[in-house]
Amino acid sequence: MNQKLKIMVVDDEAIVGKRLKPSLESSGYTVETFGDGRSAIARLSKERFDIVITDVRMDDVDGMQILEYVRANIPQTKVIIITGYASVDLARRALDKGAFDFIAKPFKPGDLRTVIEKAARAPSA
Amino acid sequence: MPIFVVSADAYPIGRRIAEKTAAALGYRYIDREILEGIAAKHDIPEERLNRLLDAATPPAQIFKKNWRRQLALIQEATLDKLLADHVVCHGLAAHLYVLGVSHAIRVRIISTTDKAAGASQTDAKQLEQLCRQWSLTAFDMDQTDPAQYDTVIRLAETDETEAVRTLVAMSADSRFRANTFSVNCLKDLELSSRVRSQLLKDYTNIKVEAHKGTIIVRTRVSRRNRNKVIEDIKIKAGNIEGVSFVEVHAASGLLARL
Amino acid sequence: MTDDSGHTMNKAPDRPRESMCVYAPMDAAERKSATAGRHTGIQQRACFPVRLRLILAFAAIFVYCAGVTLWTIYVLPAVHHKIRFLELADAYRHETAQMRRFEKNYFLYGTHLRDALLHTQKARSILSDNEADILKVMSRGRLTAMQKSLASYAAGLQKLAGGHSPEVRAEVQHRLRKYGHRLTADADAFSIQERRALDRTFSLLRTGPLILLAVLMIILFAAAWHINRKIVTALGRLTDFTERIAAGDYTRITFKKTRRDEFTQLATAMNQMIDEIEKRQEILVQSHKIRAIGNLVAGVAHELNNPLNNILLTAVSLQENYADLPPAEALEMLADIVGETERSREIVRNLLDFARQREREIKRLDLGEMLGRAIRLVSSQARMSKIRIETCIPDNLPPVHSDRQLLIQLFVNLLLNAVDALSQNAHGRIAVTVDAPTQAEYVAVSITDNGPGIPRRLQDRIFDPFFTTKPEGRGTGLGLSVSRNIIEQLGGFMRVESEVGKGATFTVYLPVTRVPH
Repeated sequence: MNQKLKIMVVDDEAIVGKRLKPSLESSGYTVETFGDGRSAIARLSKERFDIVITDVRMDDVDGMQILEYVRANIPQTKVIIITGYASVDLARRALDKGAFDFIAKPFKPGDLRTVIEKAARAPSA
Repeated sequence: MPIFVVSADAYPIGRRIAEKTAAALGYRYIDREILEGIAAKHDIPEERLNRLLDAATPPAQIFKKNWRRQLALIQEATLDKLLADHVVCHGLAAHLYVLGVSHAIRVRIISTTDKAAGASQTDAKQLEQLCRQWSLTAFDMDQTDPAQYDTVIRLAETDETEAVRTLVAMSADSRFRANTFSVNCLKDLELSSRVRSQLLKDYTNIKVEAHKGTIIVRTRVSRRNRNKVIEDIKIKAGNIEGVSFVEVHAASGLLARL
Repeated sequence: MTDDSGHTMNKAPDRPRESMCVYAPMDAAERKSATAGRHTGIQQRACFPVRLRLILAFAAIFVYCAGVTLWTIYVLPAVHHKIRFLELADAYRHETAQMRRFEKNYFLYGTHLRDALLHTQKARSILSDNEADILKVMSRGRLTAMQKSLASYAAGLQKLAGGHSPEVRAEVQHRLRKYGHRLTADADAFSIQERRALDRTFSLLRTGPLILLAVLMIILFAAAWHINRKIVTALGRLTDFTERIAAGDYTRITFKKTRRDEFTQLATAMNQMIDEIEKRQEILVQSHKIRAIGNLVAGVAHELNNPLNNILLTAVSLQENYADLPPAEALEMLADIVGETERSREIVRNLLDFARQREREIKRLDLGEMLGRAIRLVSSQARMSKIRIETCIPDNLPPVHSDRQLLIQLFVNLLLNAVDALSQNAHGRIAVTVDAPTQAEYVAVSITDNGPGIPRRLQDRIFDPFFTTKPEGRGTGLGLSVSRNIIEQLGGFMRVESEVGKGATFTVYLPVTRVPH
């Protein structure tokens, strides 16, 4: 990896961003965190991110909408879904829409790191 | 990539389709061949395990303890094989215990047609009823319920080649891609089945749930040796690989449900 | 909005529909003891069963008819005797008249007295031969007097036939005339009097049956009126009562009668039946609550994942960077862990609080707080289905008196119902509004969803037990039925307003507790 991977974390649970940011930055990534979907999409329209990690259930603009936006506009960006409301149905829906991976909460930063590494290695769709 | 869990009302037909699908996709094929390994490892005649999966009716109450344990052993071995991706599994009742895994494609193949093999309508009904009963007793699930499957293939409407083609096409569906969540679910299932088959050596009524190394064991005990049983289960389950924490829910009394 | 169905759809009515009789919420134990008191009270009253009443009525009619028959049996022989007597009287009169005629002929034309004597003898034999018959009609004294005068007359005739001196003749003639005149007068008067009596009897026999018929009719009317009053009105009361039960009003039957009868027994049995129904309803409410909890648990289990994730991420960060972390940051992390743990506990506690079985206790409650708790309970469910819950709950709502758990269960039921209705909806929205006019007796809580709505023809049936629009296997169809039951227990009522495609509004009207100034 010549270049630092740019990662966006979107979760209305502020603590998620607060903890993941230093944790991922220490692994050598550039991280930006957002607490709502709308500002995340606004940022995505200006800046290119390699990986978007997003929660699903959020008021107003939710993770699925972010996923749709990314797949439609910046298909090379990979989306990792993190959710507390994991179910077979939701997982399949997210994958169908083109999510790279689907992670159930609670997870450890290490679990996420593994997935990010996998995403970094994977050829962009 | 997905795994296929194929169940059929007629074993040879299901096997043919599952095998062809595996071959077409280059997936690994798992079927009753694995029983040999289980038989050798636990010193059970392989024939008995075979019969157990074929039998239409559950055994009498006094044989149930062994029956349950043997089923659990099959379940444990099958789940272990399924942890590897790219697998087609058939003939091991996996559709009854691979549940809640989003990358497992659950397939039901129905080959009996209305005029099949001279069997009358009532015979077919009766057979289905037995099938239902068996799955309910063994895994508390109705295997004849189409809602349990991702796809139901009726050979009356399509032929085997077409069925294989359908399954091959499904494997490319991104909905069934393995993901962290679903792989973890499968791992949880595998661990819980491992713990359960271990505990079934000594206890009859055992239900196990696993969440990333945390094990919840539910059992029924008499009030008298409740504490002893709980301690014993904690020690036995705690020694199993992958288990980090054990919680035991022991129900007492006649009306207690697991 | 037109109202062609049983349930009125008009908005915010001031009074409950009449058939949905409202009774003040009464403590279960209190109510039980009240009914028990009534039961024992009625058992102590004198027993006058309907069966006895009927027996008495029919017995009276029978006695009356028997009396009439006996009277006829008694009257007819008397008539017979009178007729016989009249025959005799006629014969006697005839004989005395003949006797007098021959006597007169003797004095006027000097004819013989044999024929006169013969007739006198005949008259005497009539009296003596039929003495028994005559005595049935006439007193013995009178008969003796008649016989005496007849004997004197006969003696006179004999005397006349013996001696013929003119003085004697004149004296005897004078005596004969006197006795003869008395005899005929007696006979005439006697027969006339008896004829009159007979005429009276005949006319009585003619009019009697009419009078008897009239009296019988009065008796029958009285019996019918009595039976109508006792039986038909009692049955009517019971019919009204069963209709009331069907409408969900479980007020016990009160006993107005002073005496016990079969209907009081029936009423007692029906009161017992209501006790039983209420017990069952209670069980139904409880078991439905357990189902609701089952639903909520799934949501809560998911909801817990968020604070748990926060705790896990924070704890792991703390663990991984323990050595390098500035103390302030470590403290902040620990504070986060504490906060999120408390949040988890709050999520679980709210559900536990709802799940815990408590004795019914009617208390003064803050409606806003209860609604808040109910919304909190279903919020994760709503989040799972991506449904927004908007609230418009004004401050300083009037207090309501109710059982805390029942009230929360009621709101949870209605909210879950709305969540279910919105499960297929992309932009599900539930609005909870409270309307509390300052002077109204009821505070109205409306739960509005923008789901598919309820067709008009189904609106009547949605409160029926086991009615459900969900596919088989999902939903018991008891949610709204149980909700209505709860509202009635709380002394309120519920309205539904819906238009297909536009959603539905369930409005709960709860009685406001007025504090006297």
